[in-house]
Amino acid sequence: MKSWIVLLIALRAIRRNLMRSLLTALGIIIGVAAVITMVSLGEGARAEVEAQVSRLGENVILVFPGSRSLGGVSIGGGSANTLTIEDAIAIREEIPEVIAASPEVRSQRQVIYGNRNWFTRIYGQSADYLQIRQWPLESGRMFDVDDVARATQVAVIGQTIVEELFEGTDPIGETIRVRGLPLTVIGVLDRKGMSLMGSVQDDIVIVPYTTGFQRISGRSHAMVINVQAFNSASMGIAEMKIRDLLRERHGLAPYQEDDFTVQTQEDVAAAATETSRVMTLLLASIAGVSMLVGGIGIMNIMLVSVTERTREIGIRMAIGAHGKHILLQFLVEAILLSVLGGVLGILGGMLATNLISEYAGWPAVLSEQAVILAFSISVAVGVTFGYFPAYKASKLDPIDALRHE
Amino acid sequence: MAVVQLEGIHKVYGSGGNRVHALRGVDLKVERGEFVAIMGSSGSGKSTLMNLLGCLDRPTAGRYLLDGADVARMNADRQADLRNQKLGFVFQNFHLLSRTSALENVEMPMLYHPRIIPRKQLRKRAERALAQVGLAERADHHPNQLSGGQQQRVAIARALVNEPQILLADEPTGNLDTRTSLEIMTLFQELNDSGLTILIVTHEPDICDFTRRILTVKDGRISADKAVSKRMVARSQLEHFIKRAEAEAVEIPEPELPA
Ligand SMILES: Nc1ncnc2c1ncn2[C@@H]1O[C@H](COP(=O)(O)OP(=O)(O)OP(=O)(O)O)[C@@H](O)[C@H]1O
Ligand SMILES: [Mg+2]
Repeated sequence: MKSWIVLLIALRAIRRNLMRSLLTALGIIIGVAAVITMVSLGEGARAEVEAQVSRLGENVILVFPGSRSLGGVSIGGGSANTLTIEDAIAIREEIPEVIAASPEVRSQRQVIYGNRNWFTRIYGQSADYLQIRQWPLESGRMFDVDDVARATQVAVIGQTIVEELFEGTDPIGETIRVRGLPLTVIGVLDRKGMSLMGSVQDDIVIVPYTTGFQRISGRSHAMVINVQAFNSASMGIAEMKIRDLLRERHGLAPYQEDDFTVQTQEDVAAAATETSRVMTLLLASIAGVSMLVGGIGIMNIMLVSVTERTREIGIRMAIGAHGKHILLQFLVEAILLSVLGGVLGILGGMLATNLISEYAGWPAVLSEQAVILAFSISVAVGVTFGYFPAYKASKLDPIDALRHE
Repeated sequence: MAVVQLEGIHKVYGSGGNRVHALRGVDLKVERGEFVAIMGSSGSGKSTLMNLLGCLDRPTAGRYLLDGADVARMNADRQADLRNQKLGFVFQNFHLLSRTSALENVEMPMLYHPRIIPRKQLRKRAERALAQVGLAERADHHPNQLSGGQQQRVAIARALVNEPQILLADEPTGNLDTRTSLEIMTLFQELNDSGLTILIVTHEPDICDFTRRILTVKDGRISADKAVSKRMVARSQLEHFIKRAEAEAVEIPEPELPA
């Protein structure tokens, strides 16, 4: 018997029971669509997190004030006053693996330009902050070491500020005011997008930390020290040396806990990807369960089908079908059904992915691997769950099958 | 050599308390080209005998030689090949595939033929077989759109499509009106004249008259076996019947409609 005949017989059988065939395939359709949608969404979330982590900068180590060993990773400003500007300078000067360190101070302030005003975050940073963050300028220049030393009244502003205060006109050389303090805009930052925490990073004004600490925030301690290591290989050593240095500078006895927390970019990334990994895993397991249910559905319906079509099997055997012809027919039928389900499921999954990313605004990356995987699984499900019923059918005795009611 | 030879065939259905001894020692020889009618009351074992002859069932005891070969010695696939190519079987209750056109039903035995028949040829041969039983214009109908007699004729077309050497038909005219019965018997007689060996089960003595030999089965044994002395020709009876029917049709007066 040639393969086209096997196909012909299976296709005729599917056409004969079109409605039931579609219902059988439905389990697989939903399963495959779910797998693809879930993986695409998870993949999108992961890509987003990755992008955000890379936006954090390159080889970045963050030093927070206060001990935060409990509760694991923390992102955000510390309230303890344990880190000084001198700590930052010492880290920069005394640790060879460190190429940049910026003591950071943040304050929420109203910024005024002409008759417009905007509530934003003012950051005090060192001159090498943009290098740490790998954040290019769109125009103008970053303030330099000299500006920091002299606490000049200059500012580098983000895109949101340009939009809100300058309405697109060139802000370079213009003067903005913060609490009456005039700041000359000397640089405009490139657009950066959302941060890991979901805030708009472009809503920012950066000033020399000297200006920031004394004139704007009134604080004397750093909220974070942004540190950049020489390369990724030196991150571990740098982290260790920072700890030793700060313990020494803070005069901590061996039994005392750190009064600061050191976190690498990887720690932050790991925390973030862990969250998205857990989500992907959760979604994937939901999808996996529906795939399994789909497979059991196929087996169930194929078993019912074999029982219900016992007479058909008897007729086919009575007119000369071998056991293996019957086996092939049912197996090919099951595979065709699951392939059909797989194809429809892939289309459905793509559609759902598009709809969700378009209307819910979730990032989604259609994963080719997920498509291939889902398709292969659906074929495997067809073979696995189709074989047993097909085998059962092929072992029937013609006369018994014919007498079946 | 006999094409069919049964020696001491027994068939017992079931086990324990509900054992049914359906055949109790059947000996039978059928030569090539014979046309045999099997008669007998209901439950006498006719269908059981036909199923054994059609290699659909195995005897409990005894030997069945088909063309000199012992059927019991063959494996299931070999027997399936016999059913496919050597034997044509018409079931008492047709056994057509439902939701499948008459044409596809008739094509089916060709799909399992070891020689690959091209798609077009498949269709052509199925159409020819349907035309033989006078159902050419019903090719696309499904069994549930056909009358019992038409279904029976589809079953006959299916049995004939692989050009078997032996045709086994269990009450092939059981559901047919006189005219269709005569048409089928005309076909069978023509096939028999061209060399096909035919065994049919029937309850109607009229039908037996078109065969050449009548077997009577009683309580699982062949109780009588006699040749038909005066074989009737179905074709002339059919022509006669048509003529008479036409004449009667003319005589029927128009029904008077109430005013
Ligand atoms: N599958 C079966 N299981 C048990 N008993 C059976 C089976 N098939 C037939 N019988 C019994 O065997 C006997 C012969 O049955 P069979 O069908 O051969 O009769 P038949 O001569 O064809 O009757 P009919 O003219 O009504 O078709 C009957 O008593 C019947 O009840
Ligand atoms: Mg019977």
